Amino acid sequence: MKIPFNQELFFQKLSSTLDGMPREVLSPDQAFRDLAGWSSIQALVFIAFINTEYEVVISHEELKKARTFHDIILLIKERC
Amino acid sequence: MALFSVNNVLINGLAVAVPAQTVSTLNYNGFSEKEKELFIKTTGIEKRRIAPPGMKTSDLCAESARRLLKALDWNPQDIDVLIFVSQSPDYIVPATSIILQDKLGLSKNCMAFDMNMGCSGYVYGLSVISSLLSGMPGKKALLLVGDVSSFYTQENDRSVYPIFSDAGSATALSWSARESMTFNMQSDGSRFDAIMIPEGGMVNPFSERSLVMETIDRGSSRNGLNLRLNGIEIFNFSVTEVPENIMELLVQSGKSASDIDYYLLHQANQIINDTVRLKLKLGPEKFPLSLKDFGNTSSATIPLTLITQLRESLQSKELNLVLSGFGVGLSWGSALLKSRQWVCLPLIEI
Repeated sequence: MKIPFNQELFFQKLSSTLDGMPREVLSPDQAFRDLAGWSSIQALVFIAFINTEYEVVISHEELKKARTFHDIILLIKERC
Repeated sequence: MALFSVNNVLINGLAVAVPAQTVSTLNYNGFSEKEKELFIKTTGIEKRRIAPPGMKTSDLCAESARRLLKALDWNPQDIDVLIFVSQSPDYIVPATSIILQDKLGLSKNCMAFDMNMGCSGYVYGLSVISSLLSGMPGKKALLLVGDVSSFYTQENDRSVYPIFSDAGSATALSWSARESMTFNMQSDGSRFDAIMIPEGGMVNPFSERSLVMETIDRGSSRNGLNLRLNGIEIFNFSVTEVPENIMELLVQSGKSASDIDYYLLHQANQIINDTVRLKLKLGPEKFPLSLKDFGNTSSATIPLTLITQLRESLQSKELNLVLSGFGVGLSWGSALLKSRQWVCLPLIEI
């Protein structure tokens, strides 16, 4: 079942999904690629999290174009 | 959808061979300690089997076939169809299956051909060989499926090297009046570049350029003859298409998800397999995994998982199985079948 988007919940769940990524470093304006430890595996975990939680597909191209979490949140809001 | 049933074909037995050489993710120099931990958690891959130089896919498949024929007490001369499914053949020309016809001592009356399929290859191969055998009362066939994918990777390419592993399998089939299998096969060539080796074919013929190393990521490099994959596109494809394909197979076969004893998914990586399972709303107990000890062995993942995770049950029980292969092509397909006391050899190490 699709759930309404809640930004705080998004970051809380993302923090626990991205193992070891503290909640306080995650914010809408944060450029995700600049996060310490961000890698192609983290990117895959991120995409899988969005797919499982929101049933939203983010393509490789969309992820490449996005810079901040806000850019991704907009795509989720558009589609869920 | 290519959804069809094949009657009068029975799987009699299965054997799988892997190289004896084991490599561990924990010893992989391309990852930091933290990256190793995250990689294992995400992909589920702790160990893999890597063929030494000179060991071919056909060697792994041939050894599986020889031992399986012996265990079944089948005369090689009685095999009428041989299909070799792989993306790591002996040569570009001729087909490896025909070389194997001779190496295995099969009759000249045996029909032999190759199929160039990867992750979906076991299910594709099964659909083709069973369709042929269905019209051949009293006959027997061998399906040889496997890959030495490590041949196409650079050790320092962190995007593919730690994922792929090597294995070869043999499945023995025979005509049988009371058996049937159902298949649901699909393909999408618009995404052909999601997993590919771009050079060495007719579009980009082999040249000096093919050997030029390009840096792709911190310390990772590859050339035009190396395998590359787009992990995010493969994830999106798999978790969208595969559950739908399996559900369609079940609905059209008049089965519910709970009628199936085990779902044998291609072992891509843990995060893909878990997400596909969650979309099917099923628990992990019906989804055996072999990723931890064997990684992604391309076309061989399904027979390898059957042998390493379900061997005893397959030998002693009748099981309702769904097999689902998906990946390079893009290509995907599922099969619904009943196993009946298969002859399953212990994993062969060579």
